[in-house]
Amino acid sequence: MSEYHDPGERELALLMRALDPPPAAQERMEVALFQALDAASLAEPEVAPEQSLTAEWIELFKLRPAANSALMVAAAVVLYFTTPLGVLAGLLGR
Amino acid sequence: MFALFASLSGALSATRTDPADEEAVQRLVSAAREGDRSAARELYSLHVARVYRVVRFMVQSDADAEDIVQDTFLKALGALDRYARRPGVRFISWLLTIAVNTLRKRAAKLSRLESVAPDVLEAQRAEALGSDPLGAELDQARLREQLLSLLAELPARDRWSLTLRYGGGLSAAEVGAICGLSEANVRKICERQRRRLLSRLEHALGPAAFEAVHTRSAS
Repeated sequence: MSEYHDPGERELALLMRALDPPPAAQERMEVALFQALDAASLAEPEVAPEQSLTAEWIELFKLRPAANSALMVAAAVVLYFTTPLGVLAGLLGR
Repeated sequence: MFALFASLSGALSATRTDPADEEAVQRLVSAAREGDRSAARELYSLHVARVYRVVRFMVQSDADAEDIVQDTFLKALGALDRYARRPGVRFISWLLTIAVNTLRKRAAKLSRLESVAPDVLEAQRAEALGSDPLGAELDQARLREQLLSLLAELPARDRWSLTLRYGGGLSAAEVGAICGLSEANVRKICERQRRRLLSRLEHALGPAAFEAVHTRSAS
């Protein structure tokens, strides 16, 4: 909170309150403000929560489990033989 | 003239307490961010007077001020997700930065307050006399008139510094951050212009009124 150390500062701050909004104006502004906020929130389009890539894959898997299981196994095999670990395992196995 | 300060005193007690506890304000911000509408209303109630005070000194009419205050809160409450608490920077400082930017953007559309239009003052006087035969409202209108016209004579940089510091209740460092001035510079401007403003107000309103203000300030 701002503190006024000088009595003159407090005096001026007090005098400036002569320009405070009358209660009727304050209420009028409040009503108009919250009506505008309500209208704005109603106008906002529904935004679907953002899905992660993993969640999308799980969703796809759920849709066609049999076909997607085969695809996933194939992808895992390809990944295994193309990663350094898979290449190393292949070399050691020779 | 004492009626003026009696009415001011009444207005002060009717005004919501300034948010001294920044932690409580931050809790309200978090709740409002989660969609708690009552927390958003509480944030509005806590800060509206200070935002309005700053804005009112910069525009010519109450209607313009209301429009900009409403716009400021609309932007702020709609952008709470983007608000990030920084050390030493209070929520009110962020809010007043939005208000200042809104004012600057709309300055071209609004008639800036170079001097208070005589017809506006006359209307205020007539309204005050009609509604309050004892003259308290009239005194308050005189104080408003004097404050507005004296501040309007100041260079824009000094006016911003004074209104943000004493109308918005910001620290010199917070005012400096908004106005692009150093803290020491803000202190110097406020010190010089405050003395000048108070002296001219005292001359315009009379010493008795100022004695009453001193009593109130000390209490």
